[in-house]
Amino acid sequence: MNRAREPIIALSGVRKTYEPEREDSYVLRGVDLEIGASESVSLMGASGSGKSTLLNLIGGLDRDYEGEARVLGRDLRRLDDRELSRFRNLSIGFVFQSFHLLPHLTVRQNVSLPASFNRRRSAASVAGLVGDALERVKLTHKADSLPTRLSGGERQRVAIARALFNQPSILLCDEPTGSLDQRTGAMILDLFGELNATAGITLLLVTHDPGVAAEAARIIKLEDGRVIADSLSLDQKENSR
Amino acid sequence: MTLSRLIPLVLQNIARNKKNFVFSSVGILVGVTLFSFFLALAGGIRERVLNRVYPINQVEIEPMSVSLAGFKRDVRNEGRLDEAAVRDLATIPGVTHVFPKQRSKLPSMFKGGAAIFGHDRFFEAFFDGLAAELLWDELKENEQVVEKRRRFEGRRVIPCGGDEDCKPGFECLDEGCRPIEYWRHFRYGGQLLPCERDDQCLEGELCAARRCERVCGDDTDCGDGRTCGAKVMGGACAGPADCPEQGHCRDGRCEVAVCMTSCRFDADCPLGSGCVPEGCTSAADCLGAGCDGGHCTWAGYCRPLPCRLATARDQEKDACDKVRGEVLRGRDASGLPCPDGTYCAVDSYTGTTGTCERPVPALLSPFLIEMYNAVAGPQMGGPRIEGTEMMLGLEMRMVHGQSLITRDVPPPRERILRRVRLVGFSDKALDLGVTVPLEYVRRMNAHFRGLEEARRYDTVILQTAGNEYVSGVTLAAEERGFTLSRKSEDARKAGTMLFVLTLVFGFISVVILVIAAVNITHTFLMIISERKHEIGILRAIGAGRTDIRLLILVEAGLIGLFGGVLGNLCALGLSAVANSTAARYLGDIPFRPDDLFLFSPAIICGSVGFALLFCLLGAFLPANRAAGMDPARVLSSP
Repeated sequence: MNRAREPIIALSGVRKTYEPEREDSYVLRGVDLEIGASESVSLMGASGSGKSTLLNLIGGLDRDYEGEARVLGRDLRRLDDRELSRFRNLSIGFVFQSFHLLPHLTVRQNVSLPASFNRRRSAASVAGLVGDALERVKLTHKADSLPTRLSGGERQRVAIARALFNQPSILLCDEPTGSLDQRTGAMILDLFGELNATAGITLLLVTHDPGVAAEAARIIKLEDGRVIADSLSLDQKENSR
Repeated sequence: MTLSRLIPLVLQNIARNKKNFVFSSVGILVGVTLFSFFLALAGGIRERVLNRVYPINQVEIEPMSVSLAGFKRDVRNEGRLDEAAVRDLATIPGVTHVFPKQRSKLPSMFKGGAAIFGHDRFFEAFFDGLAAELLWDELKENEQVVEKRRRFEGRRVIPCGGDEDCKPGFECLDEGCRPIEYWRHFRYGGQLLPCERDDQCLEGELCAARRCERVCGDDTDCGDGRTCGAKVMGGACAGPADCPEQGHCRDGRCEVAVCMTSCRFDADCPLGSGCVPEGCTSAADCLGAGCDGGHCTWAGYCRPLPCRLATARDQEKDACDKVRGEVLRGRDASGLPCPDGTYCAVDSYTGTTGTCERPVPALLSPFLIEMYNAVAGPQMGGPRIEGTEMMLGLEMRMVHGQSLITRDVPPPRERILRRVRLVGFSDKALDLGVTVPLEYVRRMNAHFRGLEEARRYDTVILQTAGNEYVSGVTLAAEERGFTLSRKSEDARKAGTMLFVLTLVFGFISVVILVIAAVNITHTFLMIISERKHEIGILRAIGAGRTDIRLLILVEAGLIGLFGGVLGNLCALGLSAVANSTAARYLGDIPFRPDDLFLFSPAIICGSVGFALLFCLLGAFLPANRAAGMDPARVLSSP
């Protein structure tokens, strides 16, 4: 697997709390992290270790933190709501455990939803991008179905297609196989691997499942809001020996 | 987010939540329906009923008076409504026109109507006088003169010398036959009543040879192209002391200088007059070789043509054409009738001689026609009058000094019969009577009741530049010792009542809209709670706070638009039901218009705007709450 040396995600001393008045309430307690372009990374940790919080922070869903977070060269805290929305729209793809598809929209409409918030996309280009995204997840034949008529794996593939619609640089996946059976989960993980390998998308996978985490080239372990292990560091140590 | 991307998203949201949409719209729909319905009703009643009965930009004032045991007496001397008061009232800021009115002070009776009823009817004649020229614009509009002229445009104009050369419905104007424009006929046409004393004439006039003449010093006292000439009064004199103050004794007869129209031929004179050589006293004198013992020259003055009917009873004939009599030459008949368009207006009811005159032009109030159609017509077995056009040109006889309801009338020999001709309709005309040119009424009052009665006006209509001036003008008039007439007072009360009712119903509608807005707040709070994950995912894929706020507000706006448009349609439907119910149960009551409602663009746009506004206000809080949601939290929440 390719590993680029230029970090596209760089966190330095990142701290986060939901109750600022309590000093012991920090969810992230000084996270320093660098992730290069086209890397495939698993974030592991127990429940409450701060994995999802870190993912939201990198994805620009949460700006209320201490320290510095630079993603694709931008200091996220310096972006206003409009710039941050545009950043999420064009550069980040989100995949969640519970899919979060809009049930009243067809597969095609769900996939094209990000175009609603992008003035520059023409109707023709939207149709092309939807086609490409569905092609990648092999769901072209289900374009006009409603999500309620799809299996769990298919729904997650629709969610991935939606995340891929704007051809983002980073794909953030929060327990993407958590709601799927093992076989379907494996298929989804294969898809992620393929996207990382062929499209060069940086993959950040949050999971508490060691089996899933092992699918990524790099594993970062979090505990109590701190990075307690990073496989890259081990590699570097090995390399330095 | 562009509107083209936003609208489909909103419509998709509405499509899946139809029940919420309809439920939220119902309150708005009810509020807008009531709002539009009552405003349109108030507007319709104000415009189509109240403004017709009591024109909104004018007030009618009268001298301040108290009523004691049925007798009304003026209580303030300064409240006298005479010519000076009229000039003073015209100076009040905001007053554009002053219309003095004088009622007839003598009982009179109308006879006629055979053209409508099949045979003659008798009515008590109530009439008043209004300055004719001030009504011309309104009469022209009512007669649709512009439309009449437009229809005639391009047609061949048949040349004519007089009205008799034109076919019915046409008159001779500028030497060509053109459709009759009746408004032109509403003017004082020189109709005179015979006088015995000077106080039977108006200011500045004296009675000379049984005719009221305007006394003058020179031509500048006359105006209207008339000149100041001498008129022989007929009385014998030996010196100036035997003649009136303004006259002098010449060749044993009193002479006085009066305003007269110079002429050389009869054609130079107004209809009903002839050219009389200077110094002669009758038109017949100039029909030959001059007049006996006078100072005749071929240049003379216009004088009314003397005429005679065969018998006094001939005056009662129904049409003017049948009472043209014969023009007199001295004491002899000339064999010629009074000119076309005039009749022989005899000096007394029991006499046979008089002068050729045009009928007195008269106006009716549309209210009278409606009253006739609703009440009098059915009772009298008369036909229903559908259009007023057919009544124009209708003639009736009017006997001054005869009454159906009082015996306080002059003896028959003092009665005078004149003819009136209907030339138009005006809301300013007397509701239950006719309105004629002010000068005729003043002359009639002076003739029967003396000059003092003719000097006092009964009421004055003050027309203002707009409704906003009415209260200021009323106050200024009250400061001058006048008070609102009963009609204007009623108008004020009716206007206030209508305003209060509109306010009450408007308030109720607004309360309903406020309740609907609160309901919308509640519904949308519920909706955003249900859709929090959706809002979170939309934020995650690139929606900004503004986009989320817009999604909610546009959805609420569509509810407002839907409720507003449907509410107006419901109000229109309700108004149609109300109109048909009114038509069925109210029948032909006066001033009941076919449509009681006035749905102006302002009401429709305003009510839809209100619906939008209240919906947006209602959705403002939920929209802000949705926009402020933390996407990270809502996406991780169960």
